[in-house]
Amino acid sequence: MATEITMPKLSDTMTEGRLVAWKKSIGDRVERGDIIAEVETDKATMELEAFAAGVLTEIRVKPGEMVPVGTVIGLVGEGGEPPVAAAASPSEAAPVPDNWQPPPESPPSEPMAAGDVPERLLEVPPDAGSAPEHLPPPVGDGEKASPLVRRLAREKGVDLREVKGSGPEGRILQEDLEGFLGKQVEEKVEVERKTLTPEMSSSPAGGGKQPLSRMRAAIARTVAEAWRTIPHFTVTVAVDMGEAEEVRRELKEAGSAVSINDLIVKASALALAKFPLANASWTADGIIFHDGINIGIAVSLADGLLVPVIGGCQSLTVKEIALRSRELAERARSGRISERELSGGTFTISNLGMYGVEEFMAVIHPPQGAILAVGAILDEAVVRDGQVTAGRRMRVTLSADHRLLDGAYAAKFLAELKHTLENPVTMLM
Amino acid sequence: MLKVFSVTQCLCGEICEGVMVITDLGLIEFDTAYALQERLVAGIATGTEPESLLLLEHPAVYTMGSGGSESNILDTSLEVLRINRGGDVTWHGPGQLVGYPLIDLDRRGRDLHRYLRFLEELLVRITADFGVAARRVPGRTGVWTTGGKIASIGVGVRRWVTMHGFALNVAPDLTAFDLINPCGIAACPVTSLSRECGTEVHLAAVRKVISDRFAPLLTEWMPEGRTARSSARV
Repeated sequence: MATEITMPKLSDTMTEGRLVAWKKSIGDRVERGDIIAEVETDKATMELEAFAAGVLTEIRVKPGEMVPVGTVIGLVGEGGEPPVAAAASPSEAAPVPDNWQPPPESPPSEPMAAGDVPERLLEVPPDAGSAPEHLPPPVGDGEKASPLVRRLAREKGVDLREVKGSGPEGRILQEDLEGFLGKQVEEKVEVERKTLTPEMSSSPAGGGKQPLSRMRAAIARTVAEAWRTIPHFTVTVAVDMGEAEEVRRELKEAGSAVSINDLIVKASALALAKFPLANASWTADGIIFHDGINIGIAVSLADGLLVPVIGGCQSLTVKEIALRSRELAERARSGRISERELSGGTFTISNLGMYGVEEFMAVIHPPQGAILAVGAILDEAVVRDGQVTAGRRMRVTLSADHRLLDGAYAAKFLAELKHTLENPVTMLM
Repeated sequence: MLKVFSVTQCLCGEICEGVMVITDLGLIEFDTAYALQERLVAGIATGTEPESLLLLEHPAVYTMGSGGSESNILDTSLEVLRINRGGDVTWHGPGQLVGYPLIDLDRRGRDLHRYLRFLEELLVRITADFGVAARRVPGRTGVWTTGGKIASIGVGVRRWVTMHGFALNVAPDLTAFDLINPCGIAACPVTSLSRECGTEVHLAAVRKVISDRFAPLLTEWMPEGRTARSSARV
C-alpha cells in the first residue's frame, strides 16, 4: 500500500507552500526519517521526512511549484508496486485521482479552508502504512459528539461517521461538522467552476470567506505598501486625440496595427526622457535615476492584474512597442509570462479607456515614482479659435511620489506628453 | 571551544527541559558553524541537547536559500553557497551579528509563521533598545527602518527543530550588498544599526541585549506546551 506525501501545514496561517526541491528521485529507496523533499513557506524551508519506508513511486509537484496545503505531492510505495494501486483505499473520503496533476500554474483561488487539512508530516503510528484518517470508522458505540452536533448533522443529512473529530478522543466538534459541510460545498463549487467562464469563476460563490490567491495576495502587498509609504498626488490633463486617431488610422491602412495605447507608451517614453524624475525611484539615501525607460502596462485578468514591462522604450519605435506590447499582453493573459518580463519597470501605464472611464487615479507600483492613468477618448464640445467644434478628448492622470517631484514638475511632464500626443507625427520620426 | 554565554533556567529552578544555552562563537567560518548546527539540531530532536542560541560573525560570504534565484546575484563572479534555509541571496560578514536559534518547535506549537514573526519581534525590540525604530513589512520577512533593511531572516527546519535564523547589520561594510539583490528585492536599500544610530555600535553590546531578551520573549511568544515529540498526535 502506498503512502501519500502531502504539502504539510507548517503554520496555522499557511494555506499553500512551495516545493523547493526533491531530495529523492523516482525509484529511489526511502527509509523512515530520510529527507525526501524541501518545502518553503514565507522565509522558512522545512525538510520533509519520509514517515514510511518504501520506494518513491511518483512525483506530482515540480520544484518551484506552489500548491495548497494538503495537496498530494508524491507517493511512497512498496518496491515494484504499480503506482495505480496508490489511492485505491476504499474508505478514503476524498480520493485524489491517480492521474491527478497540479494545474500548470498553481490555481490561484483553490478553495482550501485552513482547518480541514490533515497534518501528517511526521507523526504516523509506526506500524501504519497510511494516515489515520484513512482508516475505516470505528463501529460500536457510534461517534463521540454532543447532542447539538448530532442534531445539526441530522438536519444537514450528514453521516457523522464521515466526519473526522478534532476534539478529545476524536470527539466531533461543531466546527468539525461545519468544516466538513464547507468542504462538501467547495467540492461542489469546484465541479461547477469547471463549467463556468473564467470571468464568472473569479467571483466567490455566495457569501463567506475566500482564501487569498497568490495574485490577490501579491497585489494586496504591493498596493498596501505603496499606499502606506508613498505620498501620492495626482495631476490631470485633457488631451485632444483627434490627430492621434488619424495617425493610427493611416498606420493601419499602411498595414501597421498600432493601438492608441502604443502611442501613449511612445509619447510617455519621450516625455520621460525629458523629465527623468518621473522615471526615478526615491530612497532615503538619494534619488535613483534609471538609465532605461521600462514601461509597465497593466493588463487586467479575471483574478487580478499583471504588469508586463516593455524594456528600453527610449530606443523603440512605435511599431516595435506595438509588437512587444501585444506579445506581452497575450502572454500575461494566457499565464505564460516569466518573472523577468514582469520586473524592472520604471514607470507604469494603466488604461481603463476601454471601459468608458473618463478619468481615474492609479496607485504607484513601488519602487517606481509615477504611474499614468488613462481614460477613454470621448466626444466633447471643444472651443477652438472661439468656435465650438466636436473634439475627441482623453484625460490622463499622473500619480506621482511627492518625495521625488512636485506639482509643477508633474504638470510640465503632462504638458510635454499632451503636446506629443496632439502632434503625433513627432512620434513617427 | 564553545563559551557558554548565559544559561536560562526554567521556572522550577533546575536545569531541565526549559534550558536555553546561549553561546558566543565569535568569528567562525560558515561551514564550521553549519556543522555545529547540524549536530546540535540532531541532538535537540532526540532530546539529548537543550535548545540553543548561537551568536556569531561570519567571514564575508554570500549564501542563497534553497529556492533563491540566481538572477539576484548581480556579479556572476561571486561564489555563493546554496543552503537549506528559506529566502533568497544575502551577505554575511564582519560587523554583522548572526543568530542561529536552534529551537524545538515541536514543543512550542509547530507554527513556522509565528516563529518568523517572533524573530522579527525580537529584532524590532533589540533595535529599539538602541533607539532605532524598526518595523515589519507584511509580506517581506525581515526588519526594516526608513533607511532600509536592517536585519534579514532565513530559517531552515529539520524535524521541527529550527536552524539558521537572523542576521542583524550592526556595523558591517554595507557595500557588500551592492553586488546582489538582497533577499531577492531589486535595489533593496540596506542599512545598519550604526548608520541608523549615527554612531558606531559595538557587537558586544548587541549580543548582551539579545542574550537578555531572547529566552523571555521566546517563552512569551511560543510557550512550551506538551511534549508532543514523544506522544502520538491525533
